[in-house]
Amino acid sequence: MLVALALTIWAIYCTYDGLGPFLIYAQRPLIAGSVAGLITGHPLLGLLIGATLELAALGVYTYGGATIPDYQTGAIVGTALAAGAAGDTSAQVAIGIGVGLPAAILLSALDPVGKMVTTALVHRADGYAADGNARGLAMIHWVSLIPWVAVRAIPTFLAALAASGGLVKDITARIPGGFVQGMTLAGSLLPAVGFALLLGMMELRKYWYLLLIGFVGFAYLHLPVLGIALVGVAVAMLFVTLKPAEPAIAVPASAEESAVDARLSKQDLRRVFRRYFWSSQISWNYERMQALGFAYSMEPVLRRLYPDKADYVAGLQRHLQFFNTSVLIGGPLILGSTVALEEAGTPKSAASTKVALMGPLAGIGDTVVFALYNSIIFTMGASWALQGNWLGPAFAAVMVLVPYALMRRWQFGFAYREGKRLAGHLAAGALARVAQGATVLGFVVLGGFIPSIVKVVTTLTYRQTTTVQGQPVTQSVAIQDRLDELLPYLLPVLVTAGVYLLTVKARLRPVWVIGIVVVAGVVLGWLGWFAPSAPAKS
Amino acid sequence: MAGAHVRIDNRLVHGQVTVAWTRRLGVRRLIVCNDDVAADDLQRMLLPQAARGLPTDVLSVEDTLADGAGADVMIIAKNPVDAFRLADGGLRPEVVNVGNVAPRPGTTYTMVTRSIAVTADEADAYRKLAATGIPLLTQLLPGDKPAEFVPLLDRKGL
Repeated sequence: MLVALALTIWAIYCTYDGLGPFLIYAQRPLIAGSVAGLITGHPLLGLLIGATLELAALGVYTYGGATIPDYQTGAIVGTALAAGAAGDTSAQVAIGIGVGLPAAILLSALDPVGKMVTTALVHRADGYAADGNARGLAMIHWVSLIPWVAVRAIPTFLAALAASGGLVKDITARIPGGFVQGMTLAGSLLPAVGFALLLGMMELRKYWYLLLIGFVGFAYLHLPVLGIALVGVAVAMLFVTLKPAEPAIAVPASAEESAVDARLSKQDLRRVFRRYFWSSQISWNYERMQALGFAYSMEPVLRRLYPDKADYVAGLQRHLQFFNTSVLIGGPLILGSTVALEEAGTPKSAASTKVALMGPLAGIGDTVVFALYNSIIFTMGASWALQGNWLGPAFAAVMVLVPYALMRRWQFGFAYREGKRLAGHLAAGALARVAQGATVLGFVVLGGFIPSIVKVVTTLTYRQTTTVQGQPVTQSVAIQDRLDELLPYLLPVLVTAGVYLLTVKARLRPVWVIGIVVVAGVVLGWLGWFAPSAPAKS
Repeated sequence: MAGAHVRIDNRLVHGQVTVAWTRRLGVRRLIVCNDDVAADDLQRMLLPQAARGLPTDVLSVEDTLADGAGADVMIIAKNPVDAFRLADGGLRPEVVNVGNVAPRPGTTYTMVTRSIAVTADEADAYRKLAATGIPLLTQLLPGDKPAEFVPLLDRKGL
């Protein structure tokens, strides 16, 4: 019971973390699962289950409010049930993944329910804004967190409660060893799904050859992932700096040089940033998306700038209009420039700049955050975690905590100082260059990740009769040895390519592809034809 | 000039478009179609940067019609009025997909789906668009089930 409550509290924090502060990206399965392992007293299970789900979910993030599998709950629930299961660690991990994956997929059905409740709430916020009631507005903003949390915390609590009973042990004690073998293989194939989804989001046709650098680095030179990442950084720098100078885009001269006396105090600015940092999208809803969070963040500035109530109300309503962007890269820039433009006494241009910037910055920010930076650090973290190394989740958490906090602070300050000129800076192509550099790095690193993390070998053998000194000799030859002579890590490459074709070319939905990989893994592993690694040579 | 894919989306170039749709449709170029956006320097410069390397033009309705876009192009119309003007000007896509139409300040709107707000004027434009014979559907992401749009308007009494 106590454990179930602790897991529920952890689930609540994970949900909040992914809507507000993004301190450690706790809704990612690597982090959610690892801590769930600590809570249940089975840290290794949490590490392994979280890492496996993380790799299956690599390219999977929510874009513009689309519903995705709930891997956070999958990782927590999977770990909790695995902890209560019978058998050794590999059997428990197999059960955890076997439960966690379907749970993640099924529970995604609850996600729209939470978002619909918050949609109803935002209309209450409209009423408070019309009255100039900042307290009511703030109340609705924070209350909107409840439906978001409830649809994740309640299933977590129920599953964790069920896991603590003896029933799980009784059921799992009857699971055949072959299934465990199969599930273990499936678990080591699942990262191929994450890599394929990621490749599907990147410009494979343009940069495919960069994969070779990482592949050669790992398969022939045996570089560790960090070494491959360093090579990737160097290649990315080459791409960005050696690019022929583009025809300079004329930066639009800012017509209105805002030489207004500063009416906002440092404390006002800090308050705005703090509100955005801690709660940017906790009241996300289908109709206005992040609007209420933006209005809530702007409120201290509006109160200072518009002593007249009618103006203040108009300001709140102005910022309660539809808004959605990438909250880690992009959002703070928009917030800073909006504050500057409101202070300069140009509310109209504050509103129009906001609208102009939110779409493009969402596209650029989401690419850099989801597809590139996060994918790299979480793949590195998960690959260490799979070896039972705590450095894995710790590395990922720190690499989220520090850079994203600094980046957001810097963006806000920069955009506030630049005000109207911000747009000119952005238009000069800096963002496109960052995105290109990150893409190049991503490809190099992926080339090394695929053979190092997708683990599969065949255990099949064939009999070969050769003539040695006139005597016919029959020996058993491992097919894997022949494959290795052809190309090291041929099978992981083929599996990833196959999954890529299924998702991108045959256009199967990711959920189906995950199903196919799991079934194929279980069957082939059960039959004993394939395994994650070669059996120890006797 | 048949074949260009048309999506109505007032968030223009964003993740759903660049990640999901352009890949599903095998699109090689984007056209953002709206007179005001095409006249705005800032958006004209920023939108192509958001398209993840896909060549992107920001054109007025008139220039879009003159472009002669084929099946490897996705046209993102900012609103139903623009989409109707395209159809009226002779563009014949296989379908028009209504994606996101977020509510705009100072209008009286009804949410027809989770992501589509419709005003009385827009309802009129949607109906005129459907009357040209081009199928009018709504499908947010390629994995979603497409739905006929006009019956949705009927249901909300628009």
